[in-house]
Amino acid sequence: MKNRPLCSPRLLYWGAAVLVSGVFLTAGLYRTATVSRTAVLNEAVCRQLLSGSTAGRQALVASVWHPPFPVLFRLPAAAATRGFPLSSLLVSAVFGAAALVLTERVLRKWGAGRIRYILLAAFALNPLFLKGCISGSVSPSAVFLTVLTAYGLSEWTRHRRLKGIIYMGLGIAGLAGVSFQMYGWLAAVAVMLAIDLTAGSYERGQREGVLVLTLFPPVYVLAVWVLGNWLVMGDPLYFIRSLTSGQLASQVRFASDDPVGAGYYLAGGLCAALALLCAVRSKQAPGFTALLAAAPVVSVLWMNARGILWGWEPVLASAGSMCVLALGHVSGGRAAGGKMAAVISAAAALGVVASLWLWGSAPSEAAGKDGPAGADLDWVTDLKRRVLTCSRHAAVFACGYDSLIFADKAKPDSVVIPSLDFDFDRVRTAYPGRRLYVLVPRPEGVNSAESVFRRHRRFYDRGGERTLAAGRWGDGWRLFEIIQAPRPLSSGPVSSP
Amino acid sequence: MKAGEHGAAVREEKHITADPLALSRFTPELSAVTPVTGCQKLVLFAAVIAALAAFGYYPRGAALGFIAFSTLFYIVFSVYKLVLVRFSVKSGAQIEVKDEELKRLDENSLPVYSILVPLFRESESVGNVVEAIEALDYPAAKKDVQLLLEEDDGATRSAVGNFALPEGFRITVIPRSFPRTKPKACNIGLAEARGKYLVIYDAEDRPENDQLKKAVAAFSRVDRRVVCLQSRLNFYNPRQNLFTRWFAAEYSAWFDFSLPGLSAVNSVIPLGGTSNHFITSALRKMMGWDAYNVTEDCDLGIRIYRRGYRSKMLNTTTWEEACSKGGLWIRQRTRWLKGYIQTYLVHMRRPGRLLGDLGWKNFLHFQALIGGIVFSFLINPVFWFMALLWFFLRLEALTALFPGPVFAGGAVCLFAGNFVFVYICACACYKRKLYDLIKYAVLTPVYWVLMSYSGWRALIHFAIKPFTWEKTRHGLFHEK
Repeated sequence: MKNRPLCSPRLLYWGAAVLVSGVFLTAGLYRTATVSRTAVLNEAVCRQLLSGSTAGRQALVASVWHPPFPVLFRLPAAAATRGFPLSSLLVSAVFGAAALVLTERVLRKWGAGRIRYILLAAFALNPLFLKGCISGSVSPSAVFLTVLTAYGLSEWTRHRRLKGIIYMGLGIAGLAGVSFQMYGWLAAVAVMLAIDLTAGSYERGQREGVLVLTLFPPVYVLAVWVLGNWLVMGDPLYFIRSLTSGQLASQVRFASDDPVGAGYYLAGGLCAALALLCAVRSKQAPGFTALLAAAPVVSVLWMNARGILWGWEPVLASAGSMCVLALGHVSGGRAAGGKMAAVISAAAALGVVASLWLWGSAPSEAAGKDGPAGADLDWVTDLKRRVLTCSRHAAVFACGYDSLIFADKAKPDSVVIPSLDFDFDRVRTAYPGRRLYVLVPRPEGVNSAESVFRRHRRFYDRGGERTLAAGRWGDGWRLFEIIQAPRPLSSGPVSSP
Repeated sequence: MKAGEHGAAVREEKHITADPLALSRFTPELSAVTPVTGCQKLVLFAAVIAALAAFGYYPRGAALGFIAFSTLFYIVFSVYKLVLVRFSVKSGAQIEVKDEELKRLDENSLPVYSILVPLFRESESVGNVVEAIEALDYPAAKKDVQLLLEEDDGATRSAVGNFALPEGFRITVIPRSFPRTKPKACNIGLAEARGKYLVIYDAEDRPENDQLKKAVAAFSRVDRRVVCLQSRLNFYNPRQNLFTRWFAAEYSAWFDFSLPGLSAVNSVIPLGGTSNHFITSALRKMMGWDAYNVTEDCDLGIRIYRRGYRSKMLNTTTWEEACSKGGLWIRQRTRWLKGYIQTYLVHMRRPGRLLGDLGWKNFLHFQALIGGIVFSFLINPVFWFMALLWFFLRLEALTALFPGPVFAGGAVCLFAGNFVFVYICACACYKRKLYDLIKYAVLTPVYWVLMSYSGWRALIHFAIKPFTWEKTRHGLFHEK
């Protein structure tokens, strides 16, 4: 009698994916205190966008540190939820489950055998990945796209399949729109593809075709991003101005001296060793994967040296996951000593995960009670009361992405106005004769990349053009009153500049 | 009793199919002889009045509703195309016939294969098509080739007369009558066909040599309901100019991704105009093609499903000549889109009945494939115009037409929707090994402008001259 499977593999995969995402979501809902800052912020951008506000449109495209895809991924769910960042938790849970299911498929395709379950457990237990899956952060989506890209590259280098190029192209495009911090890793992918295109044998014109198919998706994403900036912000390169103006170098202040932790350096070192081993054994594809695993750590070191190491969770979550994937690739070989390689790989994977838990730095971006994105924003109410006692027609322009969270909390509101592109002249022209204030965040971490600090580098310390300091609020926010010549009171509606 | 019934049916079919306009006479509700029925006119009139009233009294609300609906449509349509591509790479998406299977075919037991070649003002292509059909790997004695020549097309008739036609070729003269369309000629050819199977080739076609044998082998092992196998079409002059490059990219995407995707999910397949292989008896039962429909192939693809039959994709290619001149390309595309409008209106005369015939799944495929394509070409210019207004004039009034959810949907369309269509074309070029065309495929949005122009032209033509067949001129590639 034939043994018939209880259910089809496809159903099994879907079932597993739904189950795992359900577990992540439940855990996320249970541990609401660990909801990440990016989750709260993305949720706020979604709501602004859905309410049709100018600030929401600007927030979608205006900063390379806040890419558009995490917001777009969350939009459908955000449209249905209110208040709590459920859509972020849902999206991270779904991407986390998808990353696990995809990794299982990849490891199985690479012939990792039963050892893949150990590797998969190591993959899931990578602390940044696991915490990302239940905190609504963008790390799971970055990990998923990283695995997709690495799988595509492997498929291409081993089998020359169109599928490989498509996965690689889509993965790169996705990462380009999900996390700027992953651009270093993407550069490593590009280098490896270039090596393959140079060394491999191809038909006439095929190299060009592969290059176009791989590069077109990320170029398209960037082109649309540029277009969005032109249309919404009036400057096609607005989103990267913080990188090119030199503002970061002058503003950066570290929240932590050692944000990475030794565990990740250990993982990176292991991957580099694996890459070397694969190079010695002339196994091109596993060597590529190992190098891709080592690349995030190199990328983090570089970012650290440049002083722009914030939002690094996606990079390091990917580093740990890629390390496991590289081990799977090495153990999947059918060469002599394959069994031994598999056992060593499994042991190494578990060792890496243990070291990450022990020596890897924990993510510090949870939206704590007192954090800038925190749930306790009573001070905003106090602030409004205070400015309204000075004038019934007062308006506070809150600068930066974090301000979207206040606006969201205070909605419907016309006192606190989020402003991502604050400009004194425009504000004075649009609100003549009114009592105006500007609220700026402490230029720390990613906040130092806000456009207000590009225009007025020392704003936080010394104030801007003709402003008076009006107090400190919340966690490091400073309020300034804008001085302007008295004019007749405007009775028109207050809108965002 | 059964034999008697069968015999009666055969006699009746012979009587019916002798008439090239049989479909329009016996089942006018399935023919485009009446382009728009009275009831449809009433509905369309009411819809236009309602739209005008809405735009007149509540312009902002009406515009907002239109934009919201269109945005939703774009998103759904993009996802639909993507899903089709995903299905197209499944095994079994198209029928594969291996060389070993072809070698096992006994040439003596091969059935007679009818080949219809409608030729109208194709004097320069006659030699090529005769050569291509002669080169088909099929016993000459089993080929029943009919060159369908119009009675008053002296040039083509004399060109054919100059040839010593090979064995199996014959000429069928199509009497001059209205409408002068390819399907009418094909119906006459169908009535005269002797083969168990039947295929149509256009004047410029170059089918792969083993195509007939592949079709015979495929018919012998497919589901009995499958009465039509559609070959993949592509061009032998893709690099002639920018037009042919884009056209080749589009054809590759359609015939290598979209149609195999439809075939994989057993959906209705809008047939291509050539290289569709039929079981002759089934085609006769369906009374052949609709002589009044200018995309008779697409219409027949739908009718096949309505009769409970099925179509599948066959893994073989026929190489055609891509239209290389802008004016001619627009005329050809206008005819195709006019035909899609005709087909949509014919089958939507009684939507409930169509739903009953096709079922929900195929009904939705029909809406997306036939209605959706035309709709997208018609509405594209509206959005391009608004985009230009925003680019250059920054009209604030436009912001009001894109409230939050619509703007978000628009952002999704901008990031993902357009990309999906372009990338599918680029991947199709790679699959076809047209590597050097990939870079042109990423520029296809420019090509969409021409498609939309043709779409509006088709709508106008449908209103003023629904049956006019804008002939595509071939042989330009050889001339060059």
